[in-house]
Amino acid sequence: MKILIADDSRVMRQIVIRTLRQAGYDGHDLVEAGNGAEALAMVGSESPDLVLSDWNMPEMTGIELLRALRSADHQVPFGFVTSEGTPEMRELASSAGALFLLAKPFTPDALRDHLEGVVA
Amino acid sequence: MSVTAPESPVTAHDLETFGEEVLTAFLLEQGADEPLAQDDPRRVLASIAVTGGWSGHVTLDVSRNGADVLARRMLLADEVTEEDVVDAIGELVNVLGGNVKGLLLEESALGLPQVVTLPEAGARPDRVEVCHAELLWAGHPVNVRVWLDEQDHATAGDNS
Repeated sequence: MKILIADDSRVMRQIVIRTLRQAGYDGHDLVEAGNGAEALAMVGSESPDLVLSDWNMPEMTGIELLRALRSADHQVPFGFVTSEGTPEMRELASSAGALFLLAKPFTPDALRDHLEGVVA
Repeated sequence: MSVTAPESPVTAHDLETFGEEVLTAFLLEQGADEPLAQDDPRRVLASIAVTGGWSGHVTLDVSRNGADVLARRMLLADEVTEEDVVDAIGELVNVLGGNVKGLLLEESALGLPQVVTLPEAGARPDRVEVCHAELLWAGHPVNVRVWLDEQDHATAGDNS
């Protein structure tokens, strides 16, 4: 399975990757994007099975990325990993087509709970 | 030391709670505490804006040596670049800012983190400090402050 991780922070991308491994998701192909625009291009070029995206990024935010994907009829499973976990943000994410919103900081257990049923 | 101004939407206890969660999730508690570099006065200051019904800033400041240690812990690396340090400290203030925003009743937006290295502890900004917590990450004091922007301060009255 290929997972695209989109976050403007390289440090956070590394933390997500590390936490995926700690949560037991070893052996998956992990690719990275530094902002929403780059992630949009990489969905086309890499054909990931799942996108894990930050919300607040330069160039194109995570919600703009998701809306662009769905507007293009691209149904790749999508989840947010973001510092903002308010009910309003969760509703916005869900309405746009995200499967979940995982708030930072997060533990391996929390990540596993959100990915159950999405990642084998 | 932790301080909260009256009628603050965020308290020092909130900042301490967020700090504990960050400490655990980002492995900042892993490894032995490293000694403070007494001869390096430089500070790293990170700031993130919260704008909307309530407008203010969340800031984080730590010694330059401490910032290096935190970046190494977050990346699990023996050495880090200046870019890594800016990234790591920016991400820490981003997470704290997002959690502060989550406590607000009014709809608001979170900005992008800004990080600078100062030659020494800087002057306090001309804003109202609503709460302050001194956290201890990897043996290094990290000051986290929530500031109210002047416009909201003028509307709300002087709480200082």
